[in-house]
Amino acid sequence: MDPKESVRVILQVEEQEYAGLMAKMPVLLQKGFMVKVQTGRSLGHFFRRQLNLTPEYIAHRISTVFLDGKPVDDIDAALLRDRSTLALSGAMPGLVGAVMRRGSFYASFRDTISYRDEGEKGSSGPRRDEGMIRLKLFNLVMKDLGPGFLETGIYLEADSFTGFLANRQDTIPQICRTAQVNGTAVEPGDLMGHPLFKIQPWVRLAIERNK
Amino acid sequence: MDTILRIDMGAQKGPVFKKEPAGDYAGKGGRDMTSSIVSKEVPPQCHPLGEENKLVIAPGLLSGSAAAMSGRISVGCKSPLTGGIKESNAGGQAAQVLARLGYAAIVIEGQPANGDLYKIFIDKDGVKIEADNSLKMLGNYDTVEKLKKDYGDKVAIMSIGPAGEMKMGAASIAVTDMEMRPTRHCGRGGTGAVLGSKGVKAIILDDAGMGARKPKDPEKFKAANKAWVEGLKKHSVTGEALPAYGTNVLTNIINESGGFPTYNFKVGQFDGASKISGESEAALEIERGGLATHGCHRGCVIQCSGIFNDKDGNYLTKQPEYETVWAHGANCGIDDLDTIAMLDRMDDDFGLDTIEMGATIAIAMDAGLAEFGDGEAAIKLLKEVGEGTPLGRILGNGAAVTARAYGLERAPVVKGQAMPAYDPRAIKGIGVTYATSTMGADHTAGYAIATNILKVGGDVDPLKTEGQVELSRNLQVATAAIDATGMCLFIAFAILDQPETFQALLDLLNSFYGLELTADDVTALGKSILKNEREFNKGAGFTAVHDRLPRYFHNEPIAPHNVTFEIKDEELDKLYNW
Repeated sequence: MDPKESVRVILQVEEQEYAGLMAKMPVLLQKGFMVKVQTGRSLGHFFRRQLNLTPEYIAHRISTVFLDGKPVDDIDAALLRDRSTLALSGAMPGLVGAVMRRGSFYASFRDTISYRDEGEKGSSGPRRDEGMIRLKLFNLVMKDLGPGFLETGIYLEADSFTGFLANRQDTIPQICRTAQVNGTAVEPGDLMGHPLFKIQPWVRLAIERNK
Repeated sequence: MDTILRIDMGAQKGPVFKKEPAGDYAGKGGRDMTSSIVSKEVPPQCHPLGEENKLVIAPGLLSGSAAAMSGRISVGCKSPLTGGIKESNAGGQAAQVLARLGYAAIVIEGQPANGDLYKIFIDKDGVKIEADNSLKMLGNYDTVEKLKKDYGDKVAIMSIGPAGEMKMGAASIAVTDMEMRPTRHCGRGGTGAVLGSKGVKAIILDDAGMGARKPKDPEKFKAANKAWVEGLKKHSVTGEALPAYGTNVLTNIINESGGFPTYNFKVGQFDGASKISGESEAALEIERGGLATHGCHRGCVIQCSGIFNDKDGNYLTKQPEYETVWAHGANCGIDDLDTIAMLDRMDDDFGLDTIEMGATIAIAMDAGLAEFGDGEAAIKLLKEVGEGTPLGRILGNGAAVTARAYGLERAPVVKGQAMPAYDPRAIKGIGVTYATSTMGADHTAGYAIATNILKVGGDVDPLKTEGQVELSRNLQVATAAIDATGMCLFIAFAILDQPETFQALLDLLNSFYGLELTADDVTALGKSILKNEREFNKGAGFTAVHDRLPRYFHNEPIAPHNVTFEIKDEELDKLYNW
């Protein structure tokens, strides 16, 4: 995807309505959104350098990691590629929840699906460059990191965004004070029908709260 | 808790009861009690719906005490679904009330000669067994409402719905929760059909005038309970994830792993997963004025349940669990939480196992009775079960029977019981448990409980394929032991990570009973339970051939990872070699 093909949307909300708006966001954060990354770098590098997460947070909070659908055990060996899908979660219940955890004692239960870097033979891994990955945030990690991403801005498919608005036609206009599309003020109630969403395939969504 | 109540429903002049000391069964609780009695007293070749089968109800070793999380009640019998031994347990209030009344077990035997339907009332003053045909074919919700008028709203009720009265293989026994709703179920294996075959509609338990059971060493018990609760609250699974999102927090994870059985186990990922996830469910519940955090019994500090209201903000059902959301959701191609919640409500009301019914409806869809994803059709099929139509009677007898009736090979069952919400091809270790568990395909039989502490036969190398068989064995042993205590199995996560929390559990048991149990003793307990169960199943005609997954799991790869179940039969057969 080319970020230049995205419509820039800002939802502006008063401080007292912020929590209410964030409560509507899980569906977008779970389905995933695109973020710019440095490809060829490890997941550990992404967590520490790009997301600025502390070692304690990484060790204790991001207990379950999937890269392209495969459970990851070693975040410093797993490498990001352009268009990878990365899913982050806290520790999960159940035997299978324990099985999926990073470095799980029960990892053998899922060894045929565990992440192994399968780059081209003889290559030194994916080239270091700029790329985009789909990032999915689940449960406690969604609660912790979701607000930061939404304040910085996330890239969504335009039809995902309009679908999200369609299901919340009664509530979003009540919660959001104003909205902007490509820098121009728009009534929140008029967002869904905005013509640009039919032209551009991507939306860059950010939330601004007025403190 | 040293008395066993025996109720003979088939006595010549009508049902009679007697109380006797626990005797040989002294010191047993929960699954240990039910499996001991069933394996000793029920002829393994009896008909599960005949007079020789017995239904055993047993609280756990710590039930009725002040120990947090001790509210599980076990029900055991020969299963009409699997033909083998069954232990099925549930939360709700019944365990604590029955234990405070001093009963280590209720054993229901025989069969009434007439067609009357009975209710059994137990309080501190005695036992009353009365025919009450006005309860016939009532759903569990109406049954409880009716009984509340006679017995008040401080009792605990175990009941069957129409499915149990019609003796269907998927019939459950409902247990009322703290709000006296019949939302907790001894779901698996058709225990409701066995209670129905005994002519019993409801058991009403009233502990008015009784206090909590007292520990032998109150000071040590209090300290252990404090450490226990602290351990549970500080762990991120039991202290945060489960209270916030419930068990359905697993939907996104299992879907991401490619092990989320979809469209009758055809693929391992569901496009609609995020719509029915625990995160989405919690957000919807809160939006509608329900609850995303709620306990099923007093003394629960994990509070993984919730309250699901309909679009108008009126109570519909308790928060559907992960297994229910999967079974009625992805497995049937349904991505609407309101439809899933309605199906959950109907299961609770008719008295049906949600896992078995979700698997069955998916098979019905595969057979062409409905389209995958058609929520209205799923609701109609479930209505037929509740009404006992000819089609409903097929469906109500579970996935294996339905597949046979429609000539389908692809029935995801082991020992006649439908698989739960994890595909064994993507997660092979769970497949080992499905295949070898004495209970049939069962995800709770082999839970993660401190297996680095509880060793069976030495350390396991978890990286080896053979290690999976040994791990599954360890887990099944440990789970069987936990099932004897009355503790909710979700304590497992805190125990797994925090040795001091496992020690707190041992301290609770030791200070309550004046014992000095160690981890080895817990292991020995688990092994003895499994040994009893294996012996029973052997007597019932089970052999190694029954400890297998259906063959198509070996041959049919599952997307997206395109893997099959590769564990060899010879490896599975080693599981019980200790």
